[in-house]
Amino acid sequence: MDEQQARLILESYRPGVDLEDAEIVAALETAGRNPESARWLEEEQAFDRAIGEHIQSIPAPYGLKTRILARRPAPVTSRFARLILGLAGAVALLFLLAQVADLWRNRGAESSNLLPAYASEMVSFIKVAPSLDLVSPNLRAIMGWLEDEKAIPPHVPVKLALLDPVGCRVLSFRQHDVTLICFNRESGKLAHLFVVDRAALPGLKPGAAVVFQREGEWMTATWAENDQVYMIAVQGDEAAARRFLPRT
Amino acid sequence: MEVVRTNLLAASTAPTYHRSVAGLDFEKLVEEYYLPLYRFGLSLSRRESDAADLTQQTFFLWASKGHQLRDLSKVKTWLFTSLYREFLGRKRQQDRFVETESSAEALAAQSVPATVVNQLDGDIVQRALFSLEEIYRAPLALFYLQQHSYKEIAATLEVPIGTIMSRISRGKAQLRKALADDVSLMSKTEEEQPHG
Repeated sequence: MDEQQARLILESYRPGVDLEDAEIVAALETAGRNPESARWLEEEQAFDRAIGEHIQSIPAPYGLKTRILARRPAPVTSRFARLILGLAGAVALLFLLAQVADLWRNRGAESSNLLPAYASEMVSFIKVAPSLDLVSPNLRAIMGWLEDEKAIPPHVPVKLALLDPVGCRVLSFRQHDVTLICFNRESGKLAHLFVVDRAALPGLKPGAAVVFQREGEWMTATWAENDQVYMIAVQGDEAAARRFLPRT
Repeated sequence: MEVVRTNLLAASTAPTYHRSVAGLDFEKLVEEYYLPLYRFGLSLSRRESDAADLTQQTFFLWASKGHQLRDLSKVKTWLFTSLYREFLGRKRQQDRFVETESSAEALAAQSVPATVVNQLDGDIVQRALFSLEEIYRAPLALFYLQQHSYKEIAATLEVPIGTIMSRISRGKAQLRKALADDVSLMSKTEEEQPHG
């Protein structure tokens, strides 16, 4: 093996990543015999480390992992596994039937338990400036993007639609996609609109009173409209949130 | 995260080598590979939204078809190969441009010391990588992500080992040239700025 061949092989060699097979060992020995080649190898590996550190520090968009997990299709299983799952499902169904009466009686309580969790989780996303899937000052562009993404298309309340949008993002709550649109309001503050399918919060009925909930310095206002649940979150008090509601 | 890595390594030597992957935890697999897959997708597509989409699609494919893979040790290669094929499929739909390999003469070696690279902004390095021709960008991205040996890179991109070595070598030459051009441009800009 001459030095040119050795260098070609060693350009693809990273200590600790590539196995030191016979070819690598021979190339290392060839390079080691010549001080100039040894210096070249040292510089080559330092260059690789420097580039590698840059490439390996590229961040992923915030929420990518959540979206991957949320959109996982149902796994395909073997016939045997399906049989076992079927039996387990039948047992679970019997158990569930036995619980139906209790669940029916407590369904109001269940939804009232879910709403605080929903408000709290959504506000946790916006407490720090959220990373958005789409940054755009154009509400039409945002709606188009949401449509392309097959996200929930919201009916933006008129008073929010009068503000300048910042962008949007798709979040997840208990396996339900949540559409988030952010708007600029006065004093550099933001107003956030969350929309989720009503199946995520089944206890909220269209026409019922708006539910206000405080989350630290944030106030949330939540209501159901058709098949969706809307939530506005702003920094401030109940009056600050009420300003953007579709009916006041 | 560590659990999956341990399992995968163990699977390459233990008798369970050909164990079915059906039981592999999807969430742990995502945790382990979504970032390097996204970075690989970004180096190929050069667009964040496309890279995120390619990454999501890869895991969607895994959840739909991954159970067909019988060899647990091939999971990583399967994921990266799937993302690469997905990218090529989309690219074929977008254009019919065929990239050719650069001649060695066109890639005269340029020196950019590692100390200079260390001081460079990450965006400059990323831009230099993105400027490479795709046939060099793909193997070089996998090379610098350090998830694969060069033999695994060859398997992932489905090209012979000798070709991969050659492409890594030429890709590095292109990368050095792109970085040298950037560094030179930055020096000129600094010189042209008025002092005071």
